[in-house]
Amino acid sequence: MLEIAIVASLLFVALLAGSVWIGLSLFATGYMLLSIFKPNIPMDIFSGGVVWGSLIPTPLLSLPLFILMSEVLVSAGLGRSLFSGLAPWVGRLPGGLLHVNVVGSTLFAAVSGSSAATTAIVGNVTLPELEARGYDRQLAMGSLAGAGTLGFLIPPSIIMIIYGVVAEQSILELFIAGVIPGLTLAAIYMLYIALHQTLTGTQPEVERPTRSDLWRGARDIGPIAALIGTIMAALYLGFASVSELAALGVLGAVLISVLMGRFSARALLAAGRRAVRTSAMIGLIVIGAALLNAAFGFLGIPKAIAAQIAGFGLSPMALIAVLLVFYALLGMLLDGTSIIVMTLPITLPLIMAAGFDPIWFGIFVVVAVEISQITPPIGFNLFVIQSQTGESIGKIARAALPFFFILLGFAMWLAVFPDLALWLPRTLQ
Amino acid sequence: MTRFLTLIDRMSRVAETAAVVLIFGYCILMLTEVVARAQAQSFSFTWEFSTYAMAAIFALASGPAIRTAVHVRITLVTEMLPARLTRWMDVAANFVALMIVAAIVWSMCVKMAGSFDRNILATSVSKTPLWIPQTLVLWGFAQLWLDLLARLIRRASGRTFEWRGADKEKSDA
Repeated sequence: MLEIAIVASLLFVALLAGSVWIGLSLFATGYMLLSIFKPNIPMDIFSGGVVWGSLIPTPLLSLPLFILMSEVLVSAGLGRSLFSGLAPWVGRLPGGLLHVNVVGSTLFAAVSGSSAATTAIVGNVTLPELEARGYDRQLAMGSLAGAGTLGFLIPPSIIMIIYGVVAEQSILELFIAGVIPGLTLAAIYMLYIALHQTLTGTQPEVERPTRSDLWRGARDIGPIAALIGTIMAALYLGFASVSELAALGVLGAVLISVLMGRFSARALLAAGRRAVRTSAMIGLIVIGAALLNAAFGFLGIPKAIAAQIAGFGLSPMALIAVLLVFYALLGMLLDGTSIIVMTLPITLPLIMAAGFDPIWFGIFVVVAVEISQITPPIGFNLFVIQSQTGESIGKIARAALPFFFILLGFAMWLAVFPDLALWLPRTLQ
Repeated sequence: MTRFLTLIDRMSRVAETAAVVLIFGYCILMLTEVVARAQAQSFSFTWEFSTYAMAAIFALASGPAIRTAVHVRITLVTEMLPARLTRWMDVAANFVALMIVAAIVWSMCVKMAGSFDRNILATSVSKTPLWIPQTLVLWGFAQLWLDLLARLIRRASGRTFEWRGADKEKSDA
C-alpha cells in the first residue's frame, strides 16, 4: 500500500509541478496507477466507461446553466449595477461604502457560484470607486478578498453541485444548508468593517442620499434581487428541480438584460462561449477525478487511509481540526473543484464514520475551501486582487488576514454548532 | 504550417459553436419540461437528451478552453524559472498533455465502437443508440487533441499560443 501511495503522490506532484493541466494530471495518475498495479484491467475499455459515465450524471445538469446565467448577467453589466444600486443604501452605515464589497459579493455569489468570478466582477467596480472616495485601501482589498469567497457558500454554488454529485447528496439540501452560514458570514464581515471604521475613525463623509438616489439604486439592483428571490423561493418551496431552476435562471437573466436595454444577440453568444468553456474546464477535472477515484477504489486506498487514521484514535473534533488544516494547505496548490473531487472519496467515509452529517460536511468543506482561497501567501482570491490592483501579494495577504481569521473562527463555530447549517434544511423538510 | 494551424483554429471555433448551440438547446429543453409539468404533462426525453448535450458540451468546449487558457493548471514552479526555460517546460507539459488526451480519445473511440457494434441502446423510453451522443464526445476530445497540437507547435515556434480573456465583457471583467 505504501508503494502505491508513493507512486501516486510522486506522479501527481510531478505532473502538477510540471504545469500539466489539473484535470489531465488527475486522469494520468489514475491511468498509470491502474496500469502498474492492476495490469489485468483493459485500460482502454475501462477508462472509456469511466469517461462516459462521469460526463452524464443528471445532478450535474444545473452546473453549465448556472454558469450561463451568471455570464448573461455579467453581459448585462451586473457589476456596474451592483455599485450604483447598493451605494445609496449602504453609504451611511458605519463602514460606509465598504459594505458594497460584502453586499455586492453576497448578491453576485447568489447568481454566480464562483469565488474568483465574484471577486473579479465586484472588485473591478468597487476598488477604483472606493479609492476615489478616500476609503482605506487595505480594508477595501481585505474585505473584497474575504467577501469574494462567499461565492462558494451562497447558493447556487458550483462547488456544492460538485460535492452533491461526488458525495451523492441532495444538491437542493446543500443549497438550503448554505444559506444561513453564508448570510451569517456576510453579517460578520459587515460587523468587522463597521467596527474597524468606527474605532479608527477613518470613514470618509458621504452625502445623505436623496429619495431619488435611493429610488435609482433600487431600480438598478431590483431586477437582480428579484431574480435571486425568485430562484431561492422556488428552491425552498420545491416548485422545480435544481436543473430546471437553473434553466429558469437563464431565462430570467436574459429578460433582465432586455429590461435593462443591454441585450444583444452578440453579447448572448459571447456569454454562451464563455459559459461552455468554464463548464468544459470543470468537466475535464470531473473526468480526471473519476478515473483517479476509480483507481483508488480498485486499489483499496480510501479504506487503508481510513484504517490508518482510525488507528490514531482522534476525537471527532480533532479529526475536524486536522481536516481543516489539510484542506487549507491543499487550497494553496489546487482550485476548489479539484480539491473536492480528489479528496471526498477519502474524507467522506472518515467523517461519516465519526458520526458527522454528510450535508453538514458539505458546508464545512466549502468553508474550508473558502479559507484556502485567502490563505497567505498563495490563496487564489489574492491573485485575482493582485491582477486588479497591481499590489504585492504580501500586502494583499496582510489586508486579507483579519478575514482569514474570521473564516477560521467561523469554521470552528460551524464544527461546534452544526445546526447553523442543518437547522434550515431540517425545518423545511 | 500557418494554414494547418488556421484550419485547427476554425475547427475549434466550430466545435465551440456546437457546444453553445447545445447549451442553449438543453436550456430550452429544461424550460419545455417546466412548462409541460405545469400542465400535468412530462416529456420522457428532456432529461435524457439534456445529459447527452451536457456531456458533449464538456468535450466540445475543452479544446477552445485550452486555446483561451481557461483550463486550470499550476504555474507556480514554472513561473519562477527563466523565460527560456519556462517556454520549454511549457512545451514539455503540452507534449505530456497531448499523450494523455490521446489516451482519452482512444478510450472514447473504443467505447463508441463498442456501443455501435453491439447496438447498445439507452435504458430509457427513447431507446437512443448510445453511439450517437458518444460520437459527439469523441469529436470534442479529438478537437482538444488538435488544439493541444496547435498550441504545442505555436509555443515551440515562438508564435502567439493563447488567447486569454477571449469574448470577455469589457464593461465588467
